[in-house]
Amino acid sequence: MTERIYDLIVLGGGAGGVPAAIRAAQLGGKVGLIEREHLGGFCMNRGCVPFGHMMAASRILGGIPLGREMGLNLSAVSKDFPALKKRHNDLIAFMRQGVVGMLKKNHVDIIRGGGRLVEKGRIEVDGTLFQAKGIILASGSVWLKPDFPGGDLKEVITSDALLNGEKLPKRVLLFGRSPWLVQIAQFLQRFDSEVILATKEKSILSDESKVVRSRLAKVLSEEGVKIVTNTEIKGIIKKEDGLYCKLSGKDREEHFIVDRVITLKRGAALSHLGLDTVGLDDKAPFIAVDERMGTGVEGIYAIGDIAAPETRQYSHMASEGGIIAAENIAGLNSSFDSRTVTRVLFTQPQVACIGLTGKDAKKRGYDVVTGSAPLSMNTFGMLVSQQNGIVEVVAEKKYGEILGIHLIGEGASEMAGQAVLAIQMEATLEELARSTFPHPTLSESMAEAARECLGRPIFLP
Amino acid sequence: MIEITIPKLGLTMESAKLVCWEFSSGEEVKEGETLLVIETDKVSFEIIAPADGIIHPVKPETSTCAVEEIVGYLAKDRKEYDQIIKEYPPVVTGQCPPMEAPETQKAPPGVEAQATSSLPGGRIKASPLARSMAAAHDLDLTALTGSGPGGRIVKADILRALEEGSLISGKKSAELPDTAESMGKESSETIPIQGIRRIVFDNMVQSLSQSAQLTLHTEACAEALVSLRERADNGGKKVSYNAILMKIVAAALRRHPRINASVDGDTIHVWDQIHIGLAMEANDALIVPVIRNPDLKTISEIDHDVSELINKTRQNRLSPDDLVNGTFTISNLGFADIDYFTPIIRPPESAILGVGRIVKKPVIKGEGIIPEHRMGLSLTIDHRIIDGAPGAAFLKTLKGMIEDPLLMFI
Repeated sequence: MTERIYDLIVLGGGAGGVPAAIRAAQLGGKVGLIEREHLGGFCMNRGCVPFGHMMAASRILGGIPLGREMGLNLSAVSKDFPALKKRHNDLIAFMRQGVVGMLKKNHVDIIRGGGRLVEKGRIEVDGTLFQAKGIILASGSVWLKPDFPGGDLKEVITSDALLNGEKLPKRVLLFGRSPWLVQIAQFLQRFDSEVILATKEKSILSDESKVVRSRLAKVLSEEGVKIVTNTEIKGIIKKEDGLYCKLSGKDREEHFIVDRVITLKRGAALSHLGLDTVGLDDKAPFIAVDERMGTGVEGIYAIGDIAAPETRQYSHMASEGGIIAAENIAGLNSSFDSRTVTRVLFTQPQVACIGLTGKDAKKRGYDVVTGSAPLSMNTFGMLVSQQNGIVEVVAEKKYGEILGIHLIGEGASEMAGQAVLAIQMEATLEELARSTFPHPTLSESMAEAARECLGRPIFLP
Repeated sequence: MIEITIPKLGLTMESAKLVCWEFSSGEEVKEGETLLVIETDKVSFEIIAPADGIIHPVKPETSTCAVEEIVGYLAKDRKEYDQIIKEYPPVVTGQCPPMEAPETQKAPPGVEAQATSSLPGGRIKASPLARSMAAAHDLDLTALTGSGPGGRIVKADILRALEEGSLISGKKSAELPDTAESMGKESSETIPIQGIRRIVFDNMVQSLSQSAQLTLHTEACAEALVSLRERADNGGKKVSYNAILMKIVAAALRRHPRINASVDGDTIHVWDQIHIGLAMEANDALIVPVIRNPDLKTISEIDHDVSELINKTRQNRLSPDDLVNGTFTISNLGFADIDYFTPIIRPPESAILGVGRIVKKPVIKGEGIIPEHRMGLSLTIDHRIIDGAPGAAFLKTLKGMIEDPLLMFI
């Protein structure tokens, strides 16, 4: 068997693997990238891109009432899901070409097929052996079977089925704790489905700051999404007129008839990778890595969903992890700054949370101060009717270290970038309070929230 | 030109981590000076200069080196040195003082290590948070090296400096903020768990989480032990209690061979040889050097071995071979007035004897109360393979032999 030799082989060409391969090539390495299906991975083909696009459409829809208030005479609006899909499919095809172009430009070899470790430093792809000094495992995640009774009915679907279907389901039950369910719930509601959003947790986005999650829940309820918390699916029976779903919680039982049940549980894609041949545990929920993305096995790194718990499956984590792993394999010494991972939702209002909530910070022993500035008090917020928006800054008193920034409102996903930069650059409350943001913008509220932490808000009553 | 290589410090040793160089390239060294420090998973070891010369390190700090690998060259003069540096690229050295810093916070060898936090004009690159923390702790930023992008001083660098504590200037500790009364708690010292501490840490957790430990306590009359020690004169020097106890434990283990055993997966190995470790404190760490075959040695020979191991431990000269393949351990806390404790087994061993102090106590003998030397004994056994009764039987044999050492020969 012939054997091809690389400095680095990346297993998986998704949001993590592609940046990893490019960074390694920039550092002078000979790099091979193995991809079984489509370059761009789940994010580009079935996740962030199509759903980001759908959420963008949903946001425009949500802007129509404000437009009318502003005197724009928008006549009846119709929604054409196939047209929406065609647009994102065109965009995805364009982006895939872009990925191939970027890889080629950096002389990364694209190896088509399924890769499997055979020992340290060796990977087999459909009968061909590859040898590499460094290996980055970036094969992402796969759908996990729902564990409730009735979970194997074909009407119990994932987001993939939404993308593949011609029509959107009329009546939908979304069940689980994935934050993505929340945005899909809003999209479907706005595209005329009847939506029930149910979770085992005490609230949607249960790990996030209370001001953020309660405001989002309020908006969704007002739009007509039925939110059921502290509940579990006890059974689903398929009848002619739909799926009869029995949900039961601590003190109540509820029945819903829907056309589809959507779950979005994804778990690290560990099987068929040959992890056991190098001493890694293929039965664990995901591969544990250190801040250098090392797996503990020399020369083997893991990034993205394969190395993340269910609550941390984010493309931006995968990309940053990929760059760090590539740098470490090339002999640099980079580590992941976990302080700046943004949890983001493209609902309307958008949600973006960075760092610790006030509650978490107290648990970790910080002497905490929080300050918040509602967007309803912000000039531009008033102009674009941001009644539900707020910026919350969580900091530590002694040095003014910013521990977390929690945003809900128009453009929160973009404001998050400023928050990431502030935390990464280790700005203190003082710097944030003194940032001169342009007027009139929503970002001004970030400085105001910092000033509130310092006890000197200017524009708050 | 002399090649500086990684010595083989023990039979089982295959590689070592190069902890730090004491000299950088081009510096003159004298014979006998420490050139570099290496570390195996068991010991750290200083490599000394075999001759006078000019040193040129070629392996970077923190790298792992195989036994016999060349890590540097010692040139006899400048001319030879100039030859060497043409052939071998230099590496970054001089991380010795902050060697306790976590590896990840160090600049990558040879890449960004030259980045500096001080810019021309005296401006120091430091994050606002780092400045705020430095001001609160009266740290001198110019004395710090930054690990952030472009050598910027970041929070992690301040935390490291505070851990090292060496940079606190100006104020005396009594005047430092927040050491006064406070409702909160703040660490006065933050010690990274690494090196030997990490090994102890992992071993102890592994021991308690993966075996079923039962500790049995008893008290023995120590009169015979005290008088034996008085009489056993080792060349004008008294033998140690530990040496006598080791001999007695070895004899008791011969009577109860199943105590001298290890679990390995689904099988129990009952060991033929007896090798007894003696737990001791050295350089702030727990070290357990092992005495080989004490059952075949005289008490004087054991005592000699124990002293030798204590000396090696104090001088940091232990080789990995001095630490491996124990089958039983003795831990003596008598010096600290401890009577009883629950010693933790050192895996893969299955038992450990805790020895308490020897102290005079009132004892009822016949109808009267007499003063007598007594000592506490605490035996921890792995109940997975040693039941309470055989464990107690072993302890009883031990107690009997301590009270009447002649029993060893019966």
